[in-house]
Amino acid sequence: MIRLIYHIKEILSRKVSIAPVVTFRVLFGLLMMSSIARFTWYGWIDAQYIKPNFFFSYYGFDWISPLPEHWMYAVFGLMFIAALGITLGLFYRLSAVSFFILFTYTELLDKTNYLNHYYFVSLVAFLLIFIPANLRFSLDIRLGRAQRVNQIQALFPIILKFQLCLVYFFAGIAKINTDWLLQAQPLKIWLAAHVYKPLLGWLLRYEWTAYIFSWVGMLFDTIVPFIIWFKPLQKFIFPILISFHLMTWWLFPIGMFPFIMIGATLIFIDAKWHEKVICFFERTRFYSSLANENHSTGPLNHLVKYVFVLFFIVQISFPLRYLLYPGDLFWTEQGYRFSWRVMLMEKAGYATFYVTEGEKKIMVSNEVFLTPQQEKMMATQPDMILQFAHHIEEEYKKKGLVDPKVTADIHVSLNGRRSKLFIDPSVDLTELKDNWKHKNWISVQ
Amino acid sequence: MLSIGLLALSSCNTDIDIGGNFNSYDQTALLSNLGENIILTAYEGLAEETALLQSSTEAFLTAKNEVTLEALKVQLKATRKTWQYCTPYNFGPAADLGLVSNLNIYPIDLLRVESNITSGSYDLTTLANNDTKGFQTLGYLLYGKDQSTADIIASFDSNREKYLTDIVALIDETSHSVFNTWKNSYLATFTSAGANGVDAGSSVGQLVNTMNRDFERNTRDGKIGIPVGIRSLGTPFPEATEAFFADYSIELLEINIEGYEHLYTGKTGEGLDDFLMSISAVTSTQSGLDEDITAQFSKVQNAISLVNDPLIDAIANQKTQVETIFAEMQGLVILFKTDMASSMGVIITYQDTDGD
Repeated sequence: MIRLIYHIKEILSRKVSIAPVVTFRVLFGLLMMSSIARFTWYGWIDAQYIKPNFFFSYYGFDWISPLPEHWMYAVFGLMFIAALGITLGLFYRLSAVSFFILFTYTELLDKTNYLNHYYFVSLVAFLLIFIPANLRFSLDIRLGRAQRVNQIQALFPIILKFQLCLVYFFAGIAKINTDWLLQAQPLKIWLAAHVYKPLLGWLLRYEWTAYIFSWVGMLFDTIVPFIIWFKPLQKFIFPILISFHLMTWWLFPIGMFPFIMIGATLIFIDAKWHEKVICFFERTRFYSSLANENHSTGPLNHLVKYVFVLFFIVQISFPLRYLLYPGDLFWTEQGYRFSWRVMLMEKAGYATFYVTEGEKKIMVSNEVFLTPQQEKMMATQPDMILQFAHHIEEEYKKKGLVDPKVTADIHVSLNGRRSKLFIDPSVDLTELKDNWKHKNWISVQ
Repeated sequence: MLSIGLLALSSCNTDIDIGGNFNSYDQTALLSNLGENIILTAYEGLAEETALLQSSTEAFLTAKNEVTLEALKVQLKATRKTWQYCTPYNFGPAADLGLVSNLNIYPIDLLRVESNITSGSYDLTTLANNDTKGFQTLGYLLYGKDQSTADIIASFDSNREKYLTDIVALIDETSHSVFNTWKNSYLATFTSAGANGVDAGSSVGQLVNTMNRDFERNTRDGKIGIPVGIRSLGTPFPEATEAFFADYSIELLEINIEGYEHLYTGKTGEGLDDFLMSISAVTSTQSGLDEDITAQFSKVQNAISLVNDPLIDAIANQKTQVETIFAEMQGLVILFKTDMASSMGVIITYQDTDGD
């Protein structure tokens, strides 16, 4: 055991080329800049952060609230500048810290907007704070703000690779369930929706295609994290990986995710390739040879080590917390988020809330309080249902009710099954508080 | 993966089963039937009736008497009935040209209507005047509330005549514009190959989303829910009934449900039900959805048949029955919005965003 730890320590502190994390930094920065531009262009800042009157905050983060009106644009503006700073390697650490804080702040505002790839971006931004990815091909060096190095501890590229592997691995094992493998659901539904697409649409008309896609998807996600490390296999893996992600981009409305994954996984390619790319852009093979080949970063800061160890433990265990809850995970969604469950289920719900006080009963118009997207996401997720019920209680207290009861009649359809009652319609939701415990008011599927 | 797909293609001529269930549904038939025979026909019917409404109005104003007033009232009812077949389609030209707001916003703002009439200066196309025009305002002008026919006829001074003419003209104009746009250009867009599929921009995607929104907000809530008091702690809200002045709300509701049935069944041609059955044979893990939707339509219709106009009296005297209509319509909303939309792969949202 001690030998093993020693061995791991030895591997992690080995000096390796800085090039892969440098291209990673530049690509990440560029992808973030384009994501922010796209997000703004589509008017989503307004739709997601300014329009809503109510925000579904995360458990323990209800102290985070959106800034008034146009200040949200300022947040995204600063975020863009921070992403630019990361790309150029200018005031790098400050840029990375700012980007991490600003991005995570916006994501924490409303769980309606939760997307796995946003979580991934937050995590990577967090890691970049500690990774000296600006010590080559950066303005910090050009301006003499930092010393150029050629090598860094292997720990830095490895922690990024490790994070990527976790995304694939957990996304893969999440697909090992009867709906996905034996019913080819929800892919049957999703592919049937695209049979009218040009070029490959006809392929999706076959039920078998859904089965093939399901199994290939599951096998791909589960196996890739183990084999992508091996150089000889990479020339086979990368074409598959790129087509896989482009396929998902073609079929599903998943925005930038495929490109972020393709860009990020390039870090697995041999350092020599990254060296070549960087040298091409530096146009200074000459300059490169002038540098001291062995010039590398100093010993690791202990804080960085502990942060990374903690990060490692949390990332491995947090996605498994669902095992502690009874019931079907996809139905109850207890322990669903932050676990790399990407494009796994087709869930549609319809929620009607009732406020009663004494003999008086009123049906709530959800659309008065929520945006269409919020209403849709809330209808299938118990913690959001509870939050909304409490919000309704407050709103009706403002209107003069003293102790209103809030109940909900919610019907949910999962993976092509007929809709069923989702929660106990007699439960007064105002009496319940959200916590980490099992929500026993969710109906059994 | 591609080679397996090619294998499946090469075999599909001889034996479809080798690919398992085969999703062979052709949306072109669905869209052309719905587009031509259901939607365009509904708009055509509406435009014909609004033209007659126009001429009945002229006839009344030329010779104001009980006969011409009665004829105008009859024509108003006929027009409102044809409107009921158009409500599920508030997208494309109907949305762009403001069909709903020019025809059927209720309750209306009586004070504003009267002040418009008195002042004689108004712009009916502004948002602020949304609740001062349309069928409900016509109903108010022609029926009044607890007024004798003679008083009604006598009330038509030149300002009132002008107002009547203006709102009828706006109804007719908008209905014709929508019909003509559908006929001349939008039908082609609606049925084009590019509009196939079920995603946000597709015809089916749009249709399912708008019909759900209209059914939920205007049919379930607007026609029954709000009048019966679902938004007002159970206190009935009579002014919020459709045809509050003319007192044939239930009759209109009945036709509106029939309109939804037309959309669902496609009448004699392909309808949402055919598409649903075809696609859910592949996508649904449980069967019987179409039967359930059909049964739910009957339940709604049965519930409606137990109640008689005027709706206001029904709410006062047989509230439970009226609430049953609401509950059965709620059942239909659930089937439409969760089971049907989900089996079809239609994303129910009126907002554009990324998913994962």
